[in-house]
Amino acid sequence: MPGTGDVMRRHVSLVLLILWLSAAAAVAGSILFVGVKSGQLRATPTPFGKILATPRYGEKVEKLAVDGAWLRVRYGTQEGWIHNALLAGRVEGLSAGETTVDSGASSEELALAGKGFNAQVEEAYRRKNSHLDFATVDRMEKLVVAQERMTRFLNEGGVVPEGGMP
Amino acid sequence: MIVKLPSWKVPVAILVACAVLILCGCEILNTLEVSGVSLGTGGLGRITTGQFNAVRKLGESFRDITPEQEYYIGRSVAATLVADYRPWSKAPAEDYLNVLGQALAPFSDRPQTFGGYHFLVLDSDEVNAFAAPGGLILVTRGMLRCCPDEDSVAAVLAHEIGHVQYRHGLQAIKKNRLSSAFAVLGTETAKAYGSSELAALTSAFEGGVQDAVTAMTNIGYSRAFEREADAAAVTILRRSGYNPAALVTMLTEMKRRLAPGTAGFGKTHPAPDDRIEEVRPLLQGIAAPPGGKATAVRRQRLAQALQGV
Repeated sequence: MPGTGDVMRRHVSLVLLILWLSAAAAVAGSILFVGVKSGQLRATPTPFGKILATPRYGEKVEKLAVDGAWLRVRYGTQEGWIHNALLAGRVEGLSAGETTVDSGASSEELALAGKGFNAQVEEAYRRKNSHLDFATVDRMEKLVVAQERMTRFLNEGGVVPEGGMP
Repeated sequence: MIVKLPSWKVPVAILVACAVLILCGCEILNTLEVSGVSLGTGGLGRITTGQFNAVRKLGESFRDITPEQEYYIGRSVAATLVADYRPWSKAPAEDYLNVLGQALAPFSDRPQTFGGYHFLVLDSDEVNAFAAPGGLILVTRGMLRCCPDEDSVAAVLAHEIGHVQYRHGLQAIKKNRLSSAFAVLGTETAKAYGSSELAALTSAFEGGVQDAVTAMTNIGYSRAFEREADAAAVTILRRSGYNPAALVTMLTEMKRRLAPGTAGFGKTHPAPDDRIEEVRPLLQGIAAPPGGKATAVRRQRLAQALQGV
């Protein structure tokens, strides 16, 4: 028949195991949020790296590693690279000089999502200032050029980025 | 190995395990709660005490303006400038600026903003360009006519991207606008702002937009800001493969065309000579990209794009 000491040891082992698993879960890959309307998850940490996915504002990514201004992240079931400028708040682990210049508000940033100067404020402002040309601004925002077209433009013009394309 | 525990010790073990999980779990949840509120519902949900306290500390500087707020400020700044200057939407020029400009942005230290980079030509003979906060960039016909080649257009756009990168437009906004705006935050838990909160925010917003527009069109940016934007331009041009010396070409050309004291660029920017002097050292050791057949391609497509400009 097992002695009290054996049972105690198993208790402790069980608790320690649970503690260890919880700690591992808490430390593994910090969660970061996408801070732009339409972001790019790329296959390589380069400006024109192949786009694997387009994460949207507020979506989560899990930080796996850091390389210069880029983060290797897990986004859903995919892994890829995302530039730190696309992520909300300060990103830890980036070496000094690699963060986006004055990269934005602190980690409370998403606490302010939709607060402060938002669509409702713009609406109220427009009612007071009807001469402003928001129609053209709205049209401007729709002017989005596909990556393929941009790389072709540079290529045809003999413009070769540092380190090649992508 | 099967562990046979005395019956009373099983609940204890489970309790301990749960306690541990709850403690660790809470830590994780707390972090997530601080940094992620109800997104997708417009985000106007209740914030916690922790968030309220954090928000109260903010409103100290332009750094506390989130990208989303910057986006809204930028929209209104652009709407103001476009109402004054009027857009020139002839397809070739506008399309060309967007392909070139959006191709340059990825090489900056701020490759993406909340709403992205978008470009527009303004119908004005004034030699000028404006970068509204958040990435809406406006370039006059007068400025485009100063550009002898594609690399020069790239230099102008890269410089403006630099202003967005460093959020110079936001830095023009007076501190008291921000603190009055931030004072409102955290007090409202309803889906939309009450009328007095909205009035306060709108007033602060209006002031902020005006501050930015005045800086761009009247006072101009400081030499320090122009220096930063010029340095960013050199970096972007170098990384993208365009010739960074084109920035000096542009400045030289502007110097040639600008009568001192006239409206526009000359009024709002430091003298081209000073800027040229500061840019030249940055070009040390950067080799000009090779010419060749592609130079003709660039020349031709620029001519095509600027037809009628």
